[in-house]
Amino acid sequence: MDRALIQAELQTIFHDVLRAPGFVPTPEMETGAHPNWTSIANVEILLSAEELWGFEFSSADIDGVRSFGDLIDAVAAKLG
Amino acid sequence: MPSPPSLADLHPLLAKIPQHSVEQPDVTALLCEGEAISYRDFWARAIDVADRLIGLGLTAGDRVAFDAERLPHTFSNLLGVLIAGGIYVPLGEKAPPARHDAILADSGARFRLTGENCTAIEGEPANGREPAGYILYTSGSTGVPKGVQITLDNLLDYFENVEALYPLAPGERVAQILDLSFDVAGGEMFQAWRAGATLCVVPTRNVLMWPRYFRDLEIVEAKLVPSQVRLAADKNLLKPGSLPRLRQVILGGELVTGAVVRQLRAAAPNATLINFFGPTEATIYISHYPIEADFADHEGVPIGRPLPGQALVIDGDETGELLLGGSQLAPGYWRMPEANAQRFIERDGVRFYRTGDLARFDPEHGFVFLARLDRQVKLKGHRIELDEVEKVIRTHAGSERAYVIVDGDELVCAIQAGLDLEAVEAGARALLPSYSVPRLVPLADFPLNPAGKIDYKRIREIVTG
Repeated sequence: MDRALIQAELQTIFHDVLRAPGFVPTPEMETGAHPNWTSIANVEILLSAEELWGFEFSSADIDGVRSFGDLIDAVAAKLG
Repeated sequence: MPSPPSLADLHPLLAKIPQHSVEQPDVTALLCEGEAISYRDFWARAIDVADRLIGLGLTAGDRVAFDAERLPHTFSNLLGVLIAGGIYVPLGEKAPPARHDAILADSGARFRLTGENCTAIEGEPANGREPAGYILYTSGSTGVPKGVQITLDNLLDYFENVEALYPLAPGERVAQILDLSFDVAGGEMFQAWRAGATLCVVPTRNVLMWPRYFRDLEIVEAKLVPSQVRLAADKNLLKPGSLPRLRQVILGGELVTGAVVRQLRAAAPNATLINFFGPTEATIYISHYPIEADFADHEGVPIGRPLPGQALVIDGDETGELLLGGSQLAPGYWRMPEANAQRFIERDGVRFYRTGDLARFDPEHGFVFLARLDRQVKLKGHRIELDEVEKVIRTHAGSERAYVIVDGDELVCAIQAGLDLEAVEAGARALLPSYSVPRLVPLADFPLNPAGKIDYKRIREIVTG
């Protein structure tokens, strides 16, 4: 899947989970970049991505996810 | 240049680690951020830290602060401090700089370990009387950080007790999930390293995904706070049978309920669950209760009986404040004579720590925690037990997620969203006097603090806007 498309889908997930429809995450942003982007919200974002694309992250997959850009990479890797 | 103590001079708490570095040098001591560090390398790194500290002028009893971000070098840093005879002082990774400054000033730390750098800082030299160990800072009821000093002798007694009851085997994989400024993290680390096991660090940024790490890393032993279990169950991360390798789970830090036991048993059918109890002042945990019976979802699991050589005593007839005694008791709070006089008392020539917990003794199960005495408030002239109010609300809500706070002269209860609040309130009104029925505020998520416990302060901020 195209990275731009993954980014757009993830942005929708962020809007829903953070209840922040105007929030535009950029690749370098990390947890805390939005006040609602807490560690609990982070779990929901990961789980929402799993549900949307029908895969499951392993601990090794999420180990490298520190930023929004890393998350795009992790999803792209799972989707091959 | 002075050198670190020889192996023969090492404190017995630490002496097993260099043995493992010789007898099983290639076994992984630490798995952290994708890096696997063998016992040989781990010990060598810790010795290097000790060497550098001694080279900078550290003498026994000097305080050494370190940034407690859970990265590979952090673990060899703190071990190096102990090898050198110092007292380590973690600066919590989520704490603001002002708190770090307050801790540095109060502890009088003379050295600071930042990343892999080791520097001498403005501080107070050791007086030669302070034994090696650590000082952990708790929040303190006044908001001023309060340092609890724990010695290596305290720790040795704790570990010898726990190892006899709940042993680990060399090479087994043990979870490291807790913030290093929380004393149970010491329990995770040294129990693993003394056994020659592998300590597997679940990174802070993903700590709430712990079931995935436990499954993928084949974790055998873990120490968990009930709120971490609840949150994982809420997010459907605790699937039935998903953690078959887990054989021992130590629960503690908060009241363990029947629901938490049920959720863990379903996910980890082969695990023995043990409820451990103990404040920082009594070195990690002082009592234990192997959970074999079933408990109703909202029922609290007993805290059981003291570890060998320790004492739990009720200050009263059947119900009263729980007092703790024995060799695990801390020397006291760091430079707080008034707090020491208030909390560390003597009864018939025996030293005890006053927990501030209300408890009773049950001949079948041992000690049973009832409530925190400092959660008794007075509102508009009425004395109210917040723990009691929470218990009633939880029973009527059919959910454990109900947390009561005081906002001005109003009681507010943050409660799990999606429940019939009118029914819950009606149920509470049937049992509680009207002045102790709280306003119910539904919440979708309940924040945890760095120790993995429910964060009442943050809940207050959320429900009071």
